[in-house]
Amino acid sequence: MTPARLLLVLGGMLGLLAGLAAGLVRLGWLPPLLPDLAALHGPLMVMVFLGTLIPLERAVALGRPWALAAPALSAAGGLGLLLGLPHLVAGAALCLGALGLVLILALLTRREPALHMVLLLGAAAIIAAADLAWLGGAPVSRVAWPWAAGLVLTIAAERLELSRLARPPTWARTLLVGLALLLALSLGLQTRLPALGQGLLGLSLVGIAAWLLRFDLALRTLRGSGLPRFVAACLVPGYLWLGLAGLLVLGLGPQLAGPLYDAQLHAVFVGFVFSMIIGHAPIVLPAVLRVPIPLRRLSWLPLVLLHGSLLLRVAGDLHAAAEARACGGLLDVVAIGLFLVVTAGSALRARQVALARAAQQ
Amino acid sequence: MRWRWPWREEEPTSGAEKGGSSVSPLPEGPEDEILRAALAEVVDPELGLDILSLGIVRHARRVGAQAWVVLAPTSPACPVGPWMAEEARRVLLTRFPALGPVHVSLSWDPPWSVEDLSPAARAALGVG
Repeated sequence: MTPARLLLVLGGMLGLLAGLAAGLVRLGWLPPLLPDLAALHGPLMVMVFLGTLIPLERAVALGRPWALAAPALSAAGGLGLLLGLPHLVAGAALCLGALGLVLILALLTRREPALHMVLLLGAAAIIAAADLAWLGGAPVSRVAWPWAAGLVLTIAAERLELSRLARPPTWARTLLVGLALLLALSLGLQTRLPALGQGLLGLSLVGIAAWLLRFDLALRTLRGSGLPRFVAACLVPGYLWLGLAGLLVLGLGPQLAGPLYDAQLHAVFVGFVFSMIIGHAPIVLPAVLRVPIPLRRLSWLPLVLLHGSLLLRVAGDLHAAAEARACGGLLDVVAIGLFLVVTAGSALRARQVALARAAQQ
Repeated sequence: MRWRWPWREEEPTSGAEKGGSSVSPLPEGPEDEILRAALAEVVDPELGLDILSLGIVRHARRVGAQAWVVLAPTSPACPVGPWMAEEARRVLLTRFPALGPVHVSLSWDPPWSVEDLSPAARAALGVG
């Protein structure tokens, strides 16, 4: 295991745990543990947790030690936020981390200038632009959709890379580029023409979800076994949540706060993004930390709980049932906590088995 | 044991991959089919298929006790590529303890393409 990478993973995890605590404060389950913690829920989850782990993943792929500065800046910025450093100082570190990711992806794209690499680069640029807007004082409600769009495009680009195995027709690849451009355009219209912007946002999300359901390999690997099947079982419901998020955006129009805003955003961030994280952790973490994380039957439990609790939460949001919303949100946090415990347990158990085997030899 | 600062990345091991360039250049000569077959023990975790069937093993050559392996991962953005390189090295050194340095490098020139898939991988993935 590499100590620097482990430290950075722990930095990202700190952001995740603090972000989850902030979510519980927002839902009324916890008192404010720190000043302004509730307002930091989004920045902690996106800029710190994902803002550390995604650059770490790309830095490992690049294979250059200096690239670890990007996730290190994000993790340091997150720590700064929690320690109450001035917004400008902590936020600047987070933005530099996001810009570092853009640089890393630019270098990786030079290695192989393929369509999926260009999409990954564009997605990172969207997230960095949203981070800079937040640093400049934009409220979270204004940057939440650009964050979501950047993450949606990141995942879509990764799946496009794998979907090459199934040889999607040229028109399908062109369609995905068109949907990505539509998504980017919708973000540009959010403030000037919010109704049109939200309409295009909803259409592009529905379109990307349909594209993934039709052309991704997940529906084929779902019929397989082991880890590929587990990954597919995480991805397919994620695509359904992404499509539902698009429909909610189309049907409910622009929302800047309240239960409907909660439903629209968490369908993407929890239903789509976090489901993908659960699926890819047994692949990416072993590659980053050099520690095997074998799949266990218990690994399915957080996945089922995540989607079940999100259904309850969104139903509560749509029917103005505050208790259902709060309970669903609490169970979302339990599911993510369970995922962390099961993942860490699998890694520790695999390490013990490896050490015992080495001792026998 | 030599002290390493915790923020320093692991130095590439003898002849292993660093970035896209091999530390020790690939020698001219025929492919070593025994080495290639052994590399089928390395499995792509996402697809559940071995890297030989997926066409990721571009070269596997041997000169004396030294071995050279060139892998072409499907994407440069995925950390699984460097992991595969380490796994390939580990598998070869375990299977053939008499081997000396095993030089494993990653290459994106030319990039991996779907044409590199073996018929077995195509059948397993259900693609034409």
